[in-house]
Amino acid sequence: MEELEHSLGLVEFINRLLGKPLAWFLGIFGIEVHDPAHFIPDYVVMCLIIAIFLILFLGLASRKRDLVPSKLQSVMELILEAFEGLLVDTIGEEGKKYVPMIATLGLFVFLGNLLGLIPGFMSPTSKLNVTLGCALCVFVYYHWQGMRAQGVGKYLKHFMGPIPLLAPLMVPIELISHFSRPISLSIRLFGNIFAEELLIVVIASIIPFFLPLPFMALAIFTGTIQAFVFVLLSCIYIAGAVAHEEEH
Amino acid sequence: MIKWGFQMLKKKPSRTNYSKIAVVSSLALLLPSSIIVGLFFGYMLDKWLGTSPWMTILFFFLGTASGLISLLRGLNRHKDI
Repeated sequence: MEELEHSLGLVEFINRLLGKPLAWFLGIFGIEVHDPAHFIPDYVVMCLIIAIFLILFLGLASRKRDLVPSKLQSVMELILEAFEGLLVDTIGEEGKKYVPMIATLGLFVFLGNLLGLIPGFMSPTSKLNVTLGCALCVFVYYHWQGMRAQGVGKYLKHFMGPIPLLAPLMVPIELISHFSRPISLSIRLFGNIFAEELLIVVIASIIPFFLPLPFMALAIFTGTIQAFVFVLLSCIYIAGAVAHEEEH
Repeated sequence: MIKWGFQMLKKKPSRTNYSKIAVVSSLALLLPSSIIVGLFFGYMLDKWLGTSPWMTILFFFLGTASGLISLLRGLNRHKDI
C-alpha cells in the first residue's frame, strides 16, 4: 500500500510552511518531533481545508441575512432544512435543537467524502483516525444529551432493562451494544471511503484514461449515501437517548 | 438544472429509495462490531482479574446476544420501509 501513496503537493507545501514553527511550538511542551519537514499528516491538512471552506462559505451565506434571501442564503437554508426535516422525522419537534451538531457533522463528512475526487486532494474520511473522531463525538454527544434530557439517574436506569431480575444480564449487553455503536459507525464510513479511493487508484494505475470515470461517478453516490447513513444513525442514537417513553 | 436541484432538496429525504439503501446498509455492521467489543471487554477483564479464559468466553456470548438484540431492534425500527 505504501508505494501506491505519494505525498500530495499541497501537503508538502503546508508542511514546509508550518512544519518548523509547529515543531518549535510543540517543543515548548516537551514533545520532540523527529522530522519537522514531514510531520503534519495529509488527513489533518485536508480536515483543515474543509473546515476553512465551511467557515468561509457559511460565513458568507449568513453575513447579510434577509427576509428575502439571496441565492447563497437560500441554498444554505435548503440544506439546513433538509437536516432539520431528518431530525424532526426521527425525534419529533424538539429535535430541532440538535441541528447545529448534526448539520456540522453531516456537512463535514459529506465534504470529506467528496474531496478525494478532486485531483491533488484526498478524502480525510479514508483514514480511521478521522472517522473514529467523528464517531466518538456522536457517542459523547448523545450520552450527554440523554443525561440532560432525562437526568443522570433515570438515564442510567435505562441500561438495566425492564425486568429488575434480569439486570445483571442486561447491563453488560446494553453496555456492549452502546460501545459497539462508535465502532460500527467509524468502521463503516472508513471502509467505504477507503475502498472507493483504493479502487480508483488501482483502476487509474491500470488504464488512466476514461476507465476511472464510472467508478468516480459511483464514488459520488457512495460518498453521499455514507454521509447520509452517518447523519441518520446519529439522529437515531440521539432519539434513543432522549426518548421519554419506555420503548427505544 | 438549478430548479431541479432545488426540487430534489425540497423533497423529504426519508421517503426516497436512497434512504432505504442507507437504512438497510447501516444494519450490516451491527453484529460483528458487537462481537468485537464483547471480546475486547472479556479480554481486558481477564487481564484485570486473572481469570483467563473464562471472561473472554462469557463476553463473547454476551456480545453475540447484544449484537442480535440490536439487530432485531434495528429491524423493528425500520419495519415500515
